[in-house]
Amino acid sequence: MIESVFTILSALTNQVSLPPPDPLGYPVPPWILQALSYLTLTLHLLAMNFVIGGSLLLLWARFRKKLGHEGAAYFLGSGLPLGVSYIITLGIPPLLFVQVLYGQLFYSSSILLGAFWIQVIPLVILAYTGFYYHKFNRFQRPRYQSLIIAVSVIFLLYVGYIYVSNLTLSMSPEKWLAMYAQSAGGGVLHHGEPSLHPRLLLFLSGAFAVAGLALIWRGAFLIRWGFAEEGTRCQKFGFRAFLISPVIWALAALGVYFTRKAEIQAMFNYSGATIILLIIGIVSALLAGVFAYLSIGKKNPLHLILSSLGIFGSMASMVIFRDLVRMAYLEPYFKLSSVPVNAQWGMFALFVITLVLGATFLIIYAIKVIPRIAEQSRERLGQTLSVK
Amino acid sequence: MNYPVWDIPFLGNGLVVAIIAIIHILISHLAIGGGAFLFIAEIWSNRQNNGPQIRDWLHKYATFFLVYTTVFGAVTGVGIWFAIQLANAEATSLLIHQFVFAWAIEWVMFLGELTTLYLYFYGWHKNSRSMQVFLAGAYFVIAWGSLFVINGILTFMLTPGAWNLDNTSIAAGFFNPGYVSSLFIRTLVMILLAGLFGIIMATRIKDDDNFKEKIINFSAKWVIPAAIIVPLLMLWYWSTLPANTIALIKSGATGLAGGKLEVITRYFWLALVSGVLIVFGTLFTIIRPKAATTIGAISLFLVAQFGVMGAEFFREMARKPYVIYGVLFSNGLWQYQTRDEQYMKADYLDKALWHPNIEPLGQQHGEWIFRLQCASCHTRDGYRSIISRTEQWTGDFGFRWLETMDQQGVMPPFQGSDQDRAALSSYLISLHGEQTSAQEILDQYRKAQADSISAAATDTIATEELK
Amino acid sequence: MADYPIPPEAEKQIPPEHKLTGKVARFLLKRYPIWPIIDHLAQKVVPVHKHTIWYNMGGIALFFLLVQIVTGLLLMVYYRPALPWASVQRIVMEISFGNIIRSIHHWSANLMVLFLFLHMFSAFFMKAYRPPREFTWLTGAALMGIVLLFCFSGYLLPWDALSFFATRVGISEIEKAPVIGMWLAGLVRGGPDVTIDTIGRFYVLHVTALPLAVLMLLGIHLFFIQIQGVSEPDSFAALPKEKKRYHKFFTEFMFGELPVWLFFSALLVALAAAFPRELAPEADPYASAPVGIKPEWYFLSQFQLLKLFPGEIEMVGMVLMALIPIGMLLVPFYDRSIPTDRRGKIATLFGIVVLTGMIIFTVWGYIS
Repeated sequence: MIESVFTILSALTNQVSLPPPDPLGYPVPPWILQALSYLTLTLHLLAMNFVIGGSLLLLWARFRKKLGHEGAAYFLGSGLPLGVSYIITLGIPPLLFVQVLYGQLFYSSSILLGAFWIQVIPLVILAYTGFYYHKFNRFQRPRYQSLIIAVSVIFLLYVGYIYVSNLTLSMSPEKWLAMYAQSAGGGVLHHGEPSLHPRLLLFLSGAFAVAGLALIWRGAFLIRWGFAEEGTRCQKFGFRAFLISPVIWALAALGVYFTRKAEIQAMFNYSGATIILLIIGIVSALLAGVFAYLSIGKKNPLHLILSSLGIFGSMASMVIFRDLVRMAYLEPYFKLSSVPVNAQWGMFALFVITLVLGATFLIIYAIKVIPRIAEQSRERLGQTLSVK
Repeated sequence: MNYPVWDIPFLGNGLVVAIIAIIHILISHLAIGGGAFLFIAEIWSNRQNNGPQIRDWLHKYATFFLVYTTVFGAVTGVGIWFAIQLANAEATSLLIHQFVFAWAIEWVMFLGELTTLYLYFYGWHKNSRSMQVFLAGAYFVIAWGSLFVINGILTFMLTPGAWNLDNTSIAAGFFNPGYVSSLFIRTLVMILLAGLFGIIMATRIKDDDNFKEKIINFSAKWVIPAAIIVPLLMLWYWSTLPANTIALIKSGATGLAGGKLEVITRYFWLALVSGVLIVFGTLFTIIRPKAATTIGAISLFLVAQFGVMGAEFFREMARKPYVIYGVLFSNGLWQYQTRDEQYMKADYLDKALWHPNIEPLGQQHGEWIFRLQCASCHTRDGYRSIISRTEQWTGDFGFRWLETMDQQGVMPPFQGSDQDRAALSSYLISLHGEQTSAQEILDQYRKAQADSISAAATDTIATEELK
Repeated sequence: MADYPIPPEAEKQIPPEHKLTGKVARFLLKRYPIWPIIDHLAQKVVPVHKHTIWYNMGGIALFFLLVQIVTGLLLMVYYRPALPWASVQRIVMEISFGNIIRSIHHWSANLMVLFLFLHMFSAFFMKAYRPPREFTWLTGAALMGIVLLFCFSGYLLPWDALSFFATRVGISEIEKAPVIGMWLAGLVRGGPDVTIDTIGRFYVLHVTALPLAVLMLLGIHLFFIQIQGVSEPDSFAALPKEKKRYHKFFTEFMFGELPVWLFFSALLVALAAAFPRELAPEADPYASAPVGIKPEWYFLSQFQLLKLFPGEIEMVGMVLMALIPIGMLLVPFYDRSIPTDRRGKIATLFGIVVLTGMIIFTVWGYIS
């Protein structure tokens, strides 16, 4: 049975060097996998934006000492290793689902860039080590520490570029044969795609917003703990950082538009959903900004929560938008609906149960333990701020 | 065959997987065993007079443990994933599509173990004793859960059991014949590694020799379960191995094929010797705990790394020539395709997707067959070098040999027509500097065929005449 | 029957009578009056300072020597000097574990030479050769020479293409020595060319003469160290007594070092597993030498150096090559004072030049 599916699928895709989809098919209807990947990819991007934005704000705070943001810098420096670990952990499900949904495309493009794709691993290790080294040694040799952060950020940006190059290549099967003939060891990174840099920028456009929001959260806690002056200063710093993101986003979006004009137009025609998503994304981000501003100095976290939801919503809608773009690009080559579904509802149920139990467990214990950890920060802050 | 082959000179794509995996296995197994260690050590410290002193030391253990396992363990784990999709996309795709929710469950375990570890570590000075004990235990249980899952997928590759393409039962594939023995072996090795790591951290105690002795004695005990039980479990594991693999290992003990085929045996002995050395090393450490040095303790840990290298190479080589045993060969050929004689004899480059337009029997013909059909396991002049393996070849010998290359038990059957074989043979001997074109080889073969037919005919006529 | 009396200080230090170890100790001491020796050994200490790790190098080389003896004995069971290549092929292909034992023998030889270099150079730079330890240094130098002879003689024994031509090229260098060159080369070879008679000589050297020599010299070398104690670098010796930390050799240092020996055991098996020693086709004296044939790495620097002096200026190269070991050998008679003075600095510089030169020429030899 599987064998005949294989033959049929092979016949369909033989014109280009596009492998047929896996003969085992999808384990659940693809929309479920897509929904899961949207959620987890959004979380992954939030973590990633926090680390990039946080590193840059950290460097800024160190560089401009007279602004007096050492506390914010300390906070960011402490959070970076944690942020990287969640980037990695939250990156696993999207990577898993993209392989299930678009495996034949993703594997092909990965191999074609193989020599670069594998570099992601040592680069992430080095960046991660750099962030940890900084965290444990940040009071010795400050300039050296700043260099370490800067280099780690550059490594992560390069990793991001490799990802964007790979995923974009996965949507262009017409380029593949020529690339493989050029380098069978996967030594070609640039495949003549003009929109790569704007795309990378687009992924990172939320960096200052997310990191800024994190600082506003920090400020809110400081105010609750009675450190109103430091807290408000931190929040204002965070908000000013936040404002940078829309500018970057606009530049990036225009960059993508102008480098891929025809396809973007076609895509808007493809589905009305894309226009709606774009509007939701922009509106959410604007609302997030407004609520962030309104939350400054307040003890009530409502505005801050709404702002965070706004950021999440904005990112999520961009993530969904992007998947619709992908499906539009792939129209001539591959449709998700063409792959049979060999349902594994039992396994899916087991996964859902595990996820719910696991998440519940983690939330319960996080609620028990995190306030105690926060108490340590409060005590330390009390000491450092009273010394001043 | 559906995917391009990631052609890495000298190392080969398989070694890229191996290097990352061998590093990862040592760290990941410590990550899980260390959880048990933290849990038990927490409880033990509660029962000792110098509990706070023990916990101060345990904090150092936990700090190194945290950074080592989260930075290097987690990323090399993803690294394996990256490497396998590059080295064998077809097999990775099969595994992903078959076991996606198993992997998703494993991910929930990762998330859980990471977060629990952070709550344990960052709450060190503030959490109650019982909370710390609970969190350490929870970390261990969740982390072990990730082993529970990945073990199924890993053992599936070697012993898929009742699973096949027509019976894609997840339970049959996941709980396959090799599952339980592997699970127990790995768990015991994890406990052993946690003890070795404990000894390393114990040697950092510089100012209190009696305390150092106490910690070393505590840590060294963790080697005992593996020392006693793993040999027995190995016998069980051995019984689950495919028959062909056992034949390979045994023939390797006396090196009948000139040292090439017995590589799996050599790695088996490496794993065994390393295990024995660790037991002896731990005994020496227990005899004179105060004499233990950090370099000595790290040396023991490195012996474990060698043991991992031996065991994992062994496990991977046991699958030769398959990547999914009995289902998918390493070079992308499916087992079911070998039953179709017409398919096997059809022109290879018509079936393979990833090549430019090639002139049949030209210079490039053989090169592309090598790349797409052979390079998944062989490099030209590096690992498992094809140049050294074909040193004595002539064009004609190679042409004939390729036809029956699967009979040794370590190679897949050749896919392709006579022309493909001639082209490949010509390419391989050209790597030695010999120039015999594919056309010449084909002509030589056809002439030989014609000669033997006419010789047989002459014999028949002669025999007829004699009658 | 007269027993030897057990000295009172011994009674205090050995385990009590009722323990098994105490009974054994008294049994021996009553028959063999060796308490002074035991007492002396028990006091053997190793100084602890930041260069302590170099004290391990000699012991590790000793470990590899022990491995060589064991694996060598095992190989001797099946090796036939009359049928060299066939017997090695049999070892590698038929005899159980033959391949692993042979590969371990090969790798252990290489690692032994490596650690001997480390031992020699670390002793050199720590100036352990200064009085009263001149003869420890000289016996050490002799041992180094013997080990290199071990390597050279053993290399030929498989009688494959690689070993045959490497030996032929190596001995042809001996021919170039002035006056006695041809005669000496003929003596070594057992004739005008490398033949089965050469195997006869090399085999006797490798399994009997050199082992006897090495055991004797090593015994003397270690005896000197036992009597005189481990040498201390100047910076350590200058410290006040309370600040000097020592480890007792028996059993503290030894037990600390044992896991390192276990690591090297595992390393040998790993190297034998991953990089087994190949057996090239049988030597054919009438064939031409393989293209680009090179000696093993420990002779490569000399080989490469000599290549710089081709043809007529060959002599210059050989003299230079001879001066280096002579310079190293005679250093205890040149650099004698404590603390380091001008001569000491020159000696150190000489050592740095030799070491750097060896590394550069070895690497150069590899890549060319």
